[in-house]
Amino acid sequence: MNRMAAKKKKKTARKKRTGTARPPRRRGRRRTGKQATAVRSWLQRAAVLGLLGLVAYAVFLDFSIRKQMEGKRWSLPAIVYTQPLELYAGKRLTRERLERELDQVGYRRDSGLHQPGTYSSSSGIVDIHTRAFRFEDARVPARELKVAFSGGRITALDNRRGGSVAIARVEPRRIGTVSPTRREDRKLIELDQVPAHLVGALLATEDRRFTEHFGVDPSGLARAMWANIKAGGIVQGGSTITQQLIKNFYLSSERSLGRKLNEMVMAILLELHYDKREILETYLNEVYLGQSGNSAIHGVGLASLFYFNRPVSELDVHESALLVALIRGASYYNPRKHPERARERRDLVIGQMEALDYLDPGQADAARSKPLEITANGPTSATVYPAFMGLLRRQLQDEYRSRDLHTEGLRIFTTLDPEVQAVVEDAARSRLQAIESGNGMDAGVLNAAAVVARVESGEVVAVLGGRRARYSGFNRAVDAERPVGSVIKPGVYLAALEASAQFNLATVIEDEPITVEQRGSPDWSPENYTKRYYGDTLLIDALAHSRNVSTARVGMSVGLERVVDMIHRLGITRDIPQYPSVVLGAVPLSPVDVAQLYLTIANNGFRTALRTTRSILSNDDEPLSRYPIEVRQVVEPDTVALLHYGLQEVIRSGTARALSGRFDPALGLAGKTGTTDGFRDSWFAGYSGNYVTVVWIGRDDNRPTGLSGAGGAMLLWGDIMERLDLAPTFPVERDRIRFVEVDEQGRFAGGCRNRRWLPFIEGTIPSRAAPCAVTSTRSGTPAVSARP
Amino acid sequence: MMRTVLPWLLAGSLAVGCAVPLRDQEPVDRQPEPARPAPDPDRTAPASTRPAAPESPAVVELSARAREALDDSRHDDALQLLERAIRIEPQNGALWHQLARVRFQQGNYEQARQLATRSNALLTGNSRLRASNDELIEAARDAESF
Repeated sequence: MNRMAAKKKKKTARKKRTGTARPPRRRGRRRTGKQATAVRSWLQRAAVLGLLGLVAYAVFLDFSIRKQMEGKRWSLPAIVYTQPLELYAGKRLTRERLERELDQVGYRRDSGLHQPGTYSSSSGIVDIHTRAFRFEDARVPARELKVAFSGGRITALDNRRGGSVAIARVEPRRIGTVSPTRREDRKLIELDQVPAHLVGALLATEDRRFTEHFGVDPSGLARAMWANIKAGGIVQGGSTITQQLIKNFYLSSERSLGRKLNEMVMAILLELHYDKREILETYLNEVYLGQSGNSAIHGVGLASLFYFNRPVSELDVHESALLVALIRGASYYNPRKHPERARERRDLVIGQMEALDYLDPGQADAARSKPLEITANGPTSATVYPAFMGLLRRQLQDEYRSRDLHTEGLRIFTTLDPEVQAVVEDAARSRLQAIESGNGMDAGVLNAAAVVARVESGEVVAVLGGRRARYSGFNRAVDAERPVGSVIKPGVYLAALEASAQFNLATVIEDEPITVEQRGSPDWSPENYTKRYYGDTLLIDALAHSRNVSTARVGMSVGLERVVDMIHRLGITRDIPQYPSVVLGAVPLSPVDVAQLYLTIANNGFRTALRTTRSILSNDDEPLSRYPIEVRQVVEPDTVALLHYGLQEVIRSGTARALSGRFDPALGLAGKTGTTDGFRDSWFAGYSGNYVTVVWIGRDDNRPTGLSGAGGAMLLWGDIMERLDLAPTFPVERDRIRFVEVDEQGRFAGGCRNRRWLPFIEGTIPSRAAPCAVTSTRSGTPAVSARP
Repeated sequence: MMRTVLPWLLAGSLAVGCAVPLRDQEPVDRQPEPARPAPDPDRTAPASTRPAAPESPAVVELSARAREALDDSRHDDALQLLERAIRIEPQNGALWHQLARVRFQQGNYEQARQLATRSNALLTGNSRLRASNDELIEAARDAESF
């Protein structure tokens, strides 16, 4: 094609040369008076100059046309995808959930599964004709799957053409682009992907002689002028598709004769260089077809997703006709705002198609009888997940220039799980309302933030940046740094448990007033939340009941340096001052920071960075970046197992015991409440085996809410976790861990009445025995292996 | 010369050493259920167990495809397949071991060591998988010290 264009250009260049070679001969024939000669030579010079000028101008136009056509034609914002839904036998998934996902990615019900992007559903079975899709790792062709359900799980996954399928994916949802301020958005398509009826509708309506004219269509122009004269105003443009493309590409929208002439010259030049197919394809990608917030919907590829949530290749006649109808005024004929108008115009397009034999009368009637069938909202309606996108941008900004994210058409495969995100948003909405009305607060005073991540990989699956989840304002999950209160305590206790010669879960802590002297600042005398003191307390209970005084003692005894070091090891990178009050959480962190800290605990002492992205591909599907799982062991797994048991105790019997009734004990959920001075911040952080979830509730003006961690954030945490498919946390039972019966003094108490089982690392098992204990006859050491 | 060859020799010997199909190792590693504490009279002890269910066919498939990818030196493919498998069975130590082996082949010895340690943290008792992890950790250390 380019070679063809080059050949054509040579031909025109030759023509120009022969054209300029003629005048001398003419000059030789006429020679009269001197004056006439002078006038003539002056005229000749002017003519030559004018001609040169015209040629130079044409060359300039030619150059700018080719530059635009052959360079990158459009700057393409990065496309962002959610994580895809995986299908495999044994997966917990209901039929309804799968149907919802298919609806979300624009699959249509069709019992015959005639084309990709369709499915059918009967009791316990969903048949799907998947679309071909380039996933982050591979291009997967379209195929027909049969998914069988029973008891809330997939029981079988088969290929409808025979054989079983071990695992398959539904393509991910497209969640818009990274830029919150973008202007133009499009999804490039190739002409082959465009149904014939869409091209037919376009040509019938906009340029019926497209295949014949040379860029300008004099008869079309004449027809338009006649129509305009008849109507007494401009009703038809008479512009060819080529001219419209030129207008969109290069020229302002002003209506003047000069501009019109320019447009015509450029249209002819464009036709000289490029064939009709290329011009048509470019037009279909360029044409403006709607507005989504502050972003303009360009091209039929994106418009098809925007109005029908389906790829353009799957459109039916009436849908193609609607897209073409919008060319004349995407906002005037906006089918979501003015359905009547849009339908009228659509039917006009169908009528034109019929008149020009693109449709037979039967097809045209069938198309006219169809409703508009547009989706309620465009799937790309600007930044549906502003908080997640904010975190994503932050994580990508080190590697990608923001320009690249807005112009290079990157395909970003994220970790966002839209279903979990929906759970978080719903739960926050109703829980905040319930807390406000239940506590006599004004509606709307509270705000919230939350982060949910997958434990094994650190993949962030949901982020709530504020109560108005769709509002891209202040992102509290990422940018709000609030004192964390007792949520920090696991760092203190883990540092203590690591000093295993000094501390284990049964170490007795004196819960009595403590005063810490600090050089250069006033003495520090923490108090318990309840303003009471509890005397001798086992370390596990000090943690479970969040005793401040005990924790201060433990922290001071372990040493601030080690506590702060532990917090850093768990994944907090920001500076933490070595003030004593740090052990009680007088350190401002964001919910994302807290999630990182708990993620390391949930992973048994292996730190893995929270991440929002799996892969990034270039716009021609070349892999650019991969973000694989990377882990680093920062604490011994046995030590973390003890802390984990302590954090489970928080839910079993401690400050979060209200949660215990809501979850199966076999899940072994673990977590910690946090409340800051004057009840300003209500925190809860915790995890199952597969999700770590952090919730903050408070007021934007930082005034007290009167809510403790258990009175606010914990309830929302429970609401969220209750609706997720949870896996059990990692087992406390490990090779080097023994469960031993102890009494309230932390002594071995096998056989005693008041005793409880606690885990110990071998070599740290209590050596003292309670008077009532039945010790083994051999050595007097606790009979740790003998269990009732 | 030795600096460049030795890691490959190590990798080669390791590949031979780990040639045992991973799936066969699974039951060995999962069977010895850790002794659980007796139920507390006052309170139910936390019940947290390793997955006893047989490996899902999806995980078997992904793991096999990852092995093929590794054989063809398609390391990124292998990583992505294994990560999909790990999302399904996060506490399956064999998958973490396989991930460690891909990292080793990539020459990322630090991650090889860490991932093998991660795999070990999911195991109880002595097992062939633990032995393979230890061997891999050793080899990665040696390679790192060059």
